[in-house]
Amino acid sequence: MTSVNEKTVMVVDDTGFMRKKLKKVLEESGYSVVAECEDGSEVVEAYQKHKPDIVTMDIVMPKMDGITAVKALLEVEKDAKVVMVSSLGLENKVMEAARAGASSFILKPFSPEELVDVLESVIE
Amino acid sequence: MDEIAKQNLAAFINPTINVLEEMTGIKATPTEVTLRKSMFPSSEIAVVIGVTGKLRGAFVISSSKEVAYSMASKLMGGLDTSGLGTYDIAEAIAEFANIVAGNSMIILEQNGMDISISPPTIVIGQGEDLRIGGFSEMVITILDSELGEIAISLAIMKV
Repeated sequence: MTSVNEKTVMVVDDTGFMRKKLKKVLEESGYSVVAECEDGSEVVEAYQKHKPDIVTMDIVMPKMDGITAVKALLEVEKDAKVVMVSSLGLENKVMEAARAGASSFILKPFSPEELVDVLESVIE
Repeated sequence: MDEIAKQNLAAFINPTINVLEEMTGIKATPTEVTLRKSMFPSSEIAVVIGVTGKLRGAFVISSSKEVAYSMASKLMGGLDTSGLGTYDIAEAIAEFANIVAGNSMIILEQNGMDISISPPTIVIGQGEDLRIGGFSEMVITILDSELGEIAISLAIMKV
């Protein structure tokens, strides 16, 4: 059960390991993970169903990549807040994510503190 | 090929050591670098990441099953992995390898070597006979850590 003040997160990553890790870090920090997606193609439907406060988004995924998924989500949910969490930290990828509408970018590996700091700054 | 692999080895070894320490708190030390026709003999779980762009070939992280289980547990924050299957464990190592390769790309880009990487491919089975097609040899570095030995294999050529 999500409490009134608990911030909700949707985690999008194609690997079960990373979804588990993000969920563990976020829940230990007081967030509630309300949805998990294995691919960018699931994002819009899951977002509209769960209406999370924020989304963490991987870039490389099998059917639809994270940058395309951000664009698709913001087309229908213009206030959605998305933080990219990826190992692809090349400048052009970061710029591409920003142009797509992502609010911030976290490079893997990340520390729990870094993740929470970025999410908090974006939610505020 | 081996000269190119040797020249670019640090771009793969250093991120492996750094990402391992950052994600698990475990320090690893390179102990030996060898040229081999096939993968490190004790490898039972391997993750292969293809490299394209100014370099072409493959980067492989491999270990014994026992080391992979311990490493996956540490990567998952101390989770008990005894009930997990080999593929679940390999998936954690694959994500680790993917993060390492992403960090390697940044270093290589700074050195003027723009590359792209493929999603990781998991190989389960004894590594002694496994080879990378098109390469007669691989540069293999053994990292020693409290988890045991982790092998980094690099087979690349300049395009």
